[in-house]
Amino acid sequence: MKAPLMWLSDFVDIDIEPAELADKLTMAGLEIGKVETGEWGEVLDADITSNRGDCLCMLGLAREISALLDKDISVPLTEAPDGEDKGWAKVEVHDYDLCSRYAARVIDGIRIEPSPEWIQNRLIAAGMRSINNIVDAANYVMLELGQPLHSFDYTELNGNRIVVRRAEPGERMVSIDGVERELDPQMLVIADAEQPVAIAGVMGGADSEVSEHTATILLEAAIFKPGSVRRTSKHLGLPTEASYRFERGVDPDGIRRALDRVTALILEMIPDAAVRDTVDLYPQPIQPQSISLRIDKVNSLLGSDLSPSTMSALLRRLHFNVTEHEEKLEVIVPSYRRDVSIEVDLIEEIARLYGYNSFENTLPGRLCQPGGKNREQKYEDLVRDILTGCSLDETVCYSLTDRSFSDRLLLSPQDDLCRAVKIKNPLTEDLAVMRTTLADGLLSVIKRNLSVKENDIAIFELGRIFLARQENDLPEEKSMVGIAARGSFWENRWNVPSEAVEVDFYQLKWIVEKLLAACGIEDASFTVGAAPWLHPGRSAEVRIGDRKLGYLGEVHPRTVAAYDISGPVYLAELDFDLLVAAGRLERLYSSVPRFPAVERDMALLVSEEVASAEITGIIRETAGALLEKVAFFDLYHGKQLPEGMKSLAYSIYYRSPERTLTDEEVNAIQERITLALEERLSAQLRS
Amino acid sequence: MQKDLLRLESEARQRLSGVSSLAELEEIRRKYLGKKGSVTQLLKSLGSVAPEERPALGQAINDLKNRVAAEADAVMLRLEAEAERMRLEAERLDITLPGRGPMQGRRHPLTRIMDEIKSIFIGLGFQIAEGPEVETDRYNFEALNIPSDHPARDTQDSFYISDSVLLRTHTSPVQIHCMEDGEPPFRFIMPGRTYRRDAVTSRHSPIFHQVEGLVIDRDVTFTDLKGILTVFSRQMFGQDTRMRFRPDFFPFTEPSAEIAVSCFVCKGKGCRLCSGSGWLEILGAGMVHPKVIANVGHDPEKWQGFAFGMGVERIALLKYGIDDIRHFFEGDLRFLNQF
Repeated sequence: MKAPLMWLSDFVDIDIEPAELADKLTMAGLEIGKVETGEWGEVLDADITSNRGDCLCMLGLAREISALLDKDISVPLTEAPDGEDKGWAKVEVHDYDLCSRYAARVIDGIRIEPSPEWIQNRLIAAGMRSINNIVDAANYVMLELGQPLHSFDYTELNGNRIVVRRAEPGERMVSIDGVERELDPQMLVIADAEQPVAIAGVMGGADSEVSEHTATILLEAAIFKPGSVRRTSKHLGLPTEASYRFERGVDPDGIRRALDRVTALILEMIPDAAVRDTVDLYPQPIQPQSISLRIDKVNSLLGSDLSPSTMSALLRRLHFNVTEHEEKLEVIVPSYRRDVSIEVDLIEEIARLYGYNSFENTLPGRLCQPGGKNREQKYEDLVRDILTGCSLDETVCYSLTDRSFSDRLLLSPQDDLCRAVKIKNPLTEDLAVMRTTLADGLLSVIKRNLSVKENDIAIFELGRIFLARQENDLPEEKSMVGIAARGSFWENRWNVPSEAVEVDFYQLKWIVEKLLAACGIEDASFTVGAAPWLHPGRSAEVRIGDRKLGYLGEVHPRTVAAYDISGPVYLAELDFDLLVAAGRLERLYSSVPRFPAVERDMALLVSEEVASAEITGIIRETAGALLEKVAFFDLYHGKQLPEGMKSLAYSIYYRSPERTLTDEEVNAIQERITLALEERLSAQLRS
Repeated sequence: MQKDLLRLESEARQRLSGVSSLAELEEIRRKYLGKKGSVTQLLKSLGSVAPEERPALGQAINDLKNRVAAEADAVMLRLEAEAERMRLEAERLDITLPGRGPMQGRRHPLTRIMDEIKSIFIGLGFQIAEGPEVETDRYNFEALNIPSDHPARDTQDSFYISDSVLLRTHTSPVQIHCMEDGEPPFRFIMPGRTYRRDAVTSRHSPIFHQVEGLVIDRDVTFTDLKGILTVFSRQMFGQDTRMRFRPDFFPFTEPSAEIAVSCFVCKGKGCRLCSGSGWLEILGAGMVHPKVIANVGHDPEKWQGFAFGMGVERIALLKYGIDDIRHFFEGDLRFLNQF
C-alpha cells in the first residue's frame, strides 16, 4: 500500500526523516519496501502482512506511527446529517452470518463531476486513479479509514430496495468491469427487489453503477465476513481493493465514521446535495474484547525481565486500554485490532514495540539429547559418498513430469509404474503428474547435456517417487537411488584406449556392486529380466532374497530414441528404503591371513549359453573349505575357438588359516573342479 | 723405492681422474690393482728388499693400494651416479600434460548447503526428521492455524491431488507429525522438498527445498530463538555476521519474526547481492502458536517453544552467487562441475 506522508500527517505529527520512519515501521513489522519521492512528496510503499488489515489505510498506519514515535493521534470528528426522509433507504439483511453490519445512506441532488484537485492528487499519490467525484470520495475514504464503500445509482435499484442475501443458483450479474459473473448460493450478494446489484465486498454491478446521469446515490458501508469474501473473490478470480480489505478484516466500529466522512466530502464538493435517509443494521454489535495478560507469562515466553509498567506503557502507546492488577494486566483491545484475540497476541505487541533486537540472545538448556542422523540419513550420506566416489555427479530433478513419460519408457498400461499421481491443477502439461521412477528425469538430464555437447555424463539422484493409491488416500512415497551414464567416467583420457574407459554394462554393474558392498549387503543376486525401458539382453534385476531391489542395464533403443538422445545409455535404479532395511554398517574384524595363498588360473572353453555364474557356482561347490576366492579375469570369443564357444578364465585362490598349502592338495582340488565342470557344463580346460 | 711409489700413485690418480666409462675404470683397476697390476707387482717384489726395510715398505705399498682402490671406488660411484642420471634424464616426462583418471563425482550444491545446515544443527543437539511430500490439508494448513479462506494461503498457491490432498507447500507439516508422534521436549530440524504453484522463472521454482526447525520444551523462550538462530547464522555465513530480527506474520507462530543477516559480500554496506540494503532475509521464525500446540494434543500452558524455516535454494543462490534458480534442477554438468 502506498501512503503519502502528507496524508499521514493529517493524523500524526511526523518529525523524523522519511528514511528513519520507514526503518522504524519496518522494524515494527510494517515493512516499508521503499520510500518514493514524487510530485506530492514522499510516499511510503508499505507491505502489510495479512493479519494487519487495520493498517491498510492512512489512519491505521498513522496509529502505528503514533505508537512508534510515542505521539498522540488526532482523528478529526466528521459530522454529517442522517437525513429526515425516513423510508428512502430500504434495506433488508437476510444473512447476518455473512454481513454483521450494513449501513446505507441516500443522498440526493448529486452532480457527477471531476473531483477537486487535492482529492485527485492524493488518490494518484496513493496509487489510484481518479474517476469522478462520487467514486473518488468513496475511494478516498477507503484509503483514509480502511472502510470499503460502494455507491449505487439509487434510481437504478428496483423498488429502491437493498436486499443482502445469498445468491440463488444460476443467478448472474454483469460486474462493473463488464464481465458477466455466474454466482452460486455460497456467495453473498447485494440485491435490489429483483436481482443482484453487487457481489458483496467484491465488486458492484454495471447496471446500478454511478453514471454521469446519476442524481441520487445510495452509499453502502458494511462489514462482510472475511472468509466468505475471500472465497467469492477467489472463486470469481476477482481480487479487488475492497475484497482485499474485507478478507483481512475491517473495523466494525468504523462504519459510521466512514459513512460520515464520505458524506461530508460529497457535501463539500456538491453543496446543494442533501442527505435523505440513513439506516444502520447492526443487530449484534461486537463487544469490546478484554484479555488478561499474565506478567510472568510475558517474561517466561519472551525470556525477558520486563516490568508491568513497561508492558502497560507499551500497550497504551498502541492504544490498548490497560488496567494493572497484582500479577496481570487487563487489556481491552481496540475494535480495529481484529488480529489480537488471545494473550500471546498481546505478548507479540509488547515484543514488537519493545524491539526484537533489544532482547538478548540465549541458548535453550535443559533438554539432554544428542543431535544426530537416523539410520536412513546415514545411508543417504553413504550413498552420496560412494556414488560421487564412483565418478557420478549428483542431480536434483523435478518430481513432476508430463503424462507421456509412460510412452517414452515403453510401459504397458497395466504396469505398476503407470499409477502416477495426477495433479488436478497443473501449472503446465510438462508438470502434470508425479514421477513413478527416477529414470525419466535422469534421461532428460542426459538429453539436456548432450544438447550442449557434454557427452560424458555420469549422474545419480537420490529422491522420492510417488505411486497413487485409492482416490483420497495419500500416495505411496518411496525413496530411490537412480544412476545414469553414457560416454566415459574419465576426465582426461589421452593415450588411453577408449574401450577401456567407455561406460558399459559391466562398469555400471561395478558401481552397483560397490554400493551394495558399502551397505554391507553380500547376498544380492543379479538375474535376467528388468524394466521395459531396458535392452532385454543387457539388463538385470537386482534382488535381495525374494525382494526386488532394482534394476540395471542398457536403455532400450526405442526409449533412447524417445528421449531424442544417442546411445548407448546405461541406467540403474535401486529401492533406497530396501537398501537401508537390508544394509549393515557394522563391521567385524577377521584376522589377517598368516599363511600364503596358492593361486591357480583356469581357462575354460564352454558353449556361449553358459553363464559365468554357473561356472563359479560349481567351483565354489566343489572346492571346499580351502577356497578363498574365485576371480574372473578374461572373456574371449574368436576365430581360434570352435563355432558357438567362448573362453572364460578365472584365478582361483586357496588358503588355509593354519598352514601353507602343498601343491599336491591344491592339484587334487583343481582336478575335482575340472571334472565337475566337464561333467555338468561340458567345459574343456584350455591350456 | 719411495719415489717409485709416489710416481706410481700420482700416475694412477691422474689416469683415474680422466676416466669416463665403467669399462675404462675396470681397465685401470686391472692395470694397477689386478693380479698382474703394477701395485701387486710391487708387493711381489718385496722379497728382494732388505728384511729390515720390508715392514715399512710393505706398509707403504699397502697404503698406496688402499688409496688407489678407494679412489677407484669413488670414481665408480661418480660414474654410476652419472649413468643413473643419464638414464633418468632419458625417461623425462612432460609434467605439464594434464593428469588423467576417473572423474570425481560431486554432491549437488543444494545437498552441500543442506549438509552444512544439518551439521550445524546436529552440533546444537538437533535431530533430523522427515515427512511426506504429499500431505492432507489438515497437516499442511489446518493444524498450522491456517484455515481455508485465510489470506495467508495467498502466498502458498498449491498443487492439488484432490480437494483435501496436496503437495506440501512448506516443511512445516513435519512439525505437526513430530509433535503428534512423540512427547515433548522436541528439538528437530526437518529438511525436504516443497511445492508451490509458481511459474518457473529465474527467481521462482514450483519445486524447491526448505529446512524447518522446531524446539519445544517447558521453558524455551524468544531469546532462545534469537540465540539459536544467531549461532546458526554465524556458523553458516561467518562469525562477523550481524543479525536483524523484525516482526512478521505467520499463522502458526506468535510472536513471529523475519530474520536477516548482514550481507556477507559487502558486510552491510550495500551491494548488488543485497539489493543495496546491506541485509539478506534468510529465515522466518517465531514462538509456536498455542493453538498449534493444542492442535497436536499437547498443553500449551505446559509446553512452549519456537519454530523456524529457511529456503535452501535461497541460501545456495546467495552463498554461491548463482543468478538463476533453474540451474539447480537442470542437471547441466557445466553447472554441477563447479561445486
